[in-house]
Amino acid sequence: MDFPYYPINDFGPLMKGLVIGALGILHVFLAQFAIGGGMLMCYFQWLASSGRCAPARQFIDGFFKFLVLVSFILGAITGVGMWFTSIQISPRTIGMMVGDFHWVWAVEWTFFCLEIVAGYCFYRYGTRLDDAARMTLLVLYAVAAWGSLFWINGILSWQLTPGRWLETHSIWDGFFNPSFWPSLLYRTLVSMTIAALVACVVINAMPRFDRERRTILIHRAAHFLLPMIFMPVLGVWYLMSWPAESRAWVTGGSPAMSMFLAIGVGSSLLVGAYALFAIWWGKLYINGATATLLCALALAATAGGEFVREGARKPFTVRDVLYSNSILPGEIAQLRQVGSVSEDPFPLRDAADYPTQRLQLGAKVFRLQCSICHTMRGVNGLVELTGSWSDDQRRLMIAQLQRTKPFMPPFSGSAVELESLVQLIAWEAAGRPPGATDATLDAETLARIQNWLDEAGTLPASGHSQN
Amino acid sequence: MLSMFPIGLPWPTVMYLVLYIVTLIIHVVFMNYVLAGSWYLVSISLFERRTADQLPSLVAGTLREWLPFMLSAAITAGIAPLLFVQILYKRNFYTANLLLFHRWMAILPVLIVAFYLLYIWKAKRVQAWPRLITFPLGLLTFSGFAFIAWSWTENHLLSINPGAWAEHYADGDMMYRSREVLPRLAVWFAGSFPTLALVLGWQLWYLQRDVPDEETVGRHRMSLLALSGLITAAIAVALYGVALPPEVREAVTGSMGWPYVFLAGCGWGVQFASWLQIRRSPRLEKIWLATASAGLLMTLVGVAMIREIIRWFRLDGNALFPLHEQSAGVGGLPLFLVFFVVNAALVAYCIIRVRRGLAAGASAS
Repeated sequence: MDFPYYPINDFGPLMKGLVIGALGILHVFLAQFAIGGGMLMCYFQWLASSGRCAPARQFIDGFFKFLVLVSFILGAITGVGMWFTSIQISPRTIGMMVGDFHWVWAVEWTFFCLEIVAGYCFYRYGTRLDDAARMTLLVLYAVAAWGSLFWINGILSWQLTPGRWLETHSIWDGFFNPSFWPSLLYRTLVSMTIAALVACVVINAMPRFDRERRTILIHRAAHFLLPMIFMPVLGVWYLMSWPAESRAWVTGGSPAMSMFLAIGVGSSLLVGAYALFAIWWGKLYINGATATLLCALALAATAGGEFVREGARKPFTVRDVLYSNSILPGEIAQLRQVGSVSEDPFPLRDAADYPTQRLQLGAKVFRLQCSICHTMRGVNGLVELTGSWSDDQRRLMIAQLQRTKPFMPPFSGSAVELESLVQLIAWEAAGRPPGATDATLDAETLARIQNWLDEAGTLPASGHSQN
Repeated sequence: MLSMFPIGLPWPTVMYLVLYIVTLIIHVVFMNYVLAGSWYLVSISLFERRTADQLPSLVAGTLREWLPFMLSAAITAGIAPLLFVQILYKRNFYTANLLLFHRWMAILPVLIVAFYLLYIWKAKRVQAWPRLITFPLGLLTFSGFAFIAWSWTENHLLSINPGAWAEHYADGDMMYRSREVLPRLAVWFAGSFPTLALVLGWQLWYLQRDVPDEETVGRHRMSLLALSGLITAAIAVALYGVALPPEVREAVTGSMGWPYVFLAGCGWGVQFASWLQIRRSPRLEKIWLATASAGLLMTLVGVAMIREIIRWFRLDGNALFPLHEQSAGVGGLPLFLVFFVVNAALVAYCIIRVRRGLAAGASAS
């Protein structure tokens, strides 16, 4: 069996998912700002060229500089950073995504190129061009930016809802998966919202405008907040396109996930209510502080939404295809026979810290199977989660992991490896007592573990997987 | 493998190799501009003559103006080879990334800081700052890009040495020490100057196309940059050749690689001769810039192929072929080709539209 072992890094007390989550939220926020920003610029250019809004042209030139400085630099580099971080967290997942969708990614790259060229042309020469040329560049920029969302959305939504791809392995079945359209439309509205809110901040920060002009511009920018009224419908449609188990996690099944959903929904509601009643209905002026606060709420909504989207895939990283610990469902039976780490070429970095070979084996099993979502003592720490359990309880719970917690993948190692992991947790929970020795494994215990493993089987709790 | 690389390899492997090399060369042109350009900023900060009105020279001004865009283009152009390298050498690339970990991830904040510094360099008030400030600022900017170049070099060398992986992981070392690192880095660094000289040369030619001969600038400076870069690169290549294991060296100079060594060498010669001509000419002549461009293209293709031969010689190709075949089996290639053509046309249209718009604006005023 040629299992692809990669060197696994320890993130200390931080859960790996938090690291990619933090970078992902920042990148998504910036990218959506760039996408919505392109559309907003087109709208303002239309206002300027049709004489509907006198200060629009001045605003565009100022706003576009801000967009370039933020989005072209931070957005672009955090985009590359997402790739690098994904490799650090789960090389097998990103490898699978690249393997199956590299032409889609290549198409997206052609849109990036257009976005950069159109954007820089406008940034550098926009002030010297007539309205028609400006509009052309802005439309091309906006189309390219939204196009990049279109293509990447297909890949990201495929991870959660691969749909008919599971049977056909056709790239188009994977791309136009069940959550593709609701996700695309929802993200488009989010992009428009973020762009409008950031525009309000920028308008307040531009010293060339007096209060009257700012008011005009803010109320024009607020038009981009209006489509938020469709968000609840799209949100429900998006949620309904998910597998039933995933939907159950976020709507009460998992308190943490439900909390993140509540943060996302609550923040969006607050922004939407303010936009609708205060800015649109009441024609209130938004000062810089309020606009910044609304942006912070939009960031919180993005954070909540992205955490929910990432977490809803559990126990998979690609639904029904690859578990979150980068093991294929079809590999589990074999790994249970030969051991999951018996051929791992990478030694422990801190082997000397573990006094026995059994604990070292347990540490290797923890590294391969658990460390993607758990630490030993930090965030989501095993010592805190299972410290009060008896050894037998740990054996049963881990052997039947997918039954213990349906968002966990099945245990993928041998009975000996499971017992080693149990002993490691017990040793850690006891505060790493010195003088531990390798005791002979009890054959009866191993038989009991094997029995539990066989009883639980290799399928996830939902009972279906493809590989 | 005895025939010329990549003849004899399965078509999916050849296809991905060609795509990788073509996109890598595009990326390298922008990357070289930024790497050598940021070094040039350091020298500007030390030696640039200051005029009373603080206006920069045309060379310095053009460089400052274009460096941020070139970096943006380098990052964007870098996405495609980053994609294809994952198809070609997935396990090697990922493992090296993971082994260098913090060091590798440090590229991101360093790149962000260096990017913003390039924008700071554009500001007019920065040009009036004393050398005591501009020199460290320039050094910091260049150091950022040098750090990234060094990290990529180590990452590449570690990725093609699977025998070192387990030990490197166990040591938890953030650096990969190999005798190839410095000479290889020196080849890249020295080789970036002829590219900078050429691209900047074309920019200066365009900006001064209506200026009388005696008033044009940049000919002397660009040829000096290019010729010194070419000579230094040749020395670095010789050092790198010595640092390579004998069997790898033989593969490069043997039937697999000698056509590319020849191509790169010819390109070097064409560039050298072109820059000598430019140096003797009264101005930056289009014809010699064109021949230097052809020479640079030959060298870049030759060097990129030699780079792959060195990598290929050290890896087990038979294990990679099925993976490439599997990747080639997924759909989407026609779609990519269609959008490549459409978006390339739109990129060209943007540039044409701007040129027309500027011309119309100029004639109207």
